[in-house]
Amino acid sequence: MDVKYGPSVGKAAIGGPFKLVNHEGKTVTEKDFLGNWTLMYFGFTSCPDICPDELQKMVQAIDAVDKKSGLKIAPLFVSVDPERDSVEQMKEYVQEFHPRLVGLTGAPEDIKQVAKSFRVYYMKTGDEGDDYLVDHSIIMYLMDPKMEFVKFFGKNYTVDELSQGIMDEVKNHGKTKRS
Amino acid sequence: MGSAASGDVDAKVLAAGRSACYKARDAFFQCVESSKGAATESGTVGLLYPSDCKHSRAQFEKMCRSTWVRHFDRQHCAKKRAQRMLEPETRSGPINIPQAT
Repeated sequence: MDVKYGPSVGKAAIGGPFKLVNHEGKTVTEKDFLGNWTLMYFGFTSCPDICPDELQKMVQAIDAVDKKSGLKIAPLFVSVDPERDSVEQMKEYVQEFHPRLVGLTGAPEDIKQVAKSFRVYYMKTGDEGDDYLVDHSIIMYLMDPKMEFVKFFGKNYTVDELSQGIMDEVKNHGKTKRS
Repeated sequence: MGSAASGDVDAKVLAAGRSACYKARDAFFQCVESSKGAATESGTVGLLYPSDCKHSRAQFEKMCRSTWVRHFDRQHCAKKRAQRMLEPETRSGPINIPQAT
């Protein structure tokens, strides 16, 4: 099915500048991700099942995109639990999923700011003494090489739908500009 | 639980730890499913389970963080509730009353 793209009516105001710490301990901003298509997911390492599943899906999708089109998407995992997700914790966690998966954590105020700019809902729940879970929206954000928001993908997308969706957006990206 | 400040990594959330937890979880719920209506039930706050499954429960609680145990208990209950609503024998709703002709 061919979708015809008409003149753009403007972009959703999602995304923007951020200052976080990657899983190697280096401070990074959104500028460090310019030049590549990026797929961002917000979650936390103490997540029982959803985050591991979503991250697994994410890395499988970017490998599929790489295989089919040669395009290397940069996968990012941003913590909504900065108080517990230390650099070390993030490193151990992300490295198990994919060599290119970048983990981002940071000061709670900086996480709050990036979550706000991406309209990510997150809230601590279910206190069991010291332990808690974080309820959060389950969305992947596709950002273009200018780190501008293009599309989001919900939990219902399969690996194939996600990789196809990404490739469709990349293909059509040039067509919607300058209209 | 390791805190961010102390630099400890919580291994229970890494792949091997998750896998061990899921395995213990599945073994426990498998036990619950296969023990049909045990005469006695023991339980902690929240979930009642047949006392046959006490051992697998202990293993489940050992391999998984308590917040995860609670999460999976709730997930299990929600799934059972959904199943009950779908199954003809147990679902509520309109019943067919034979009409006199």
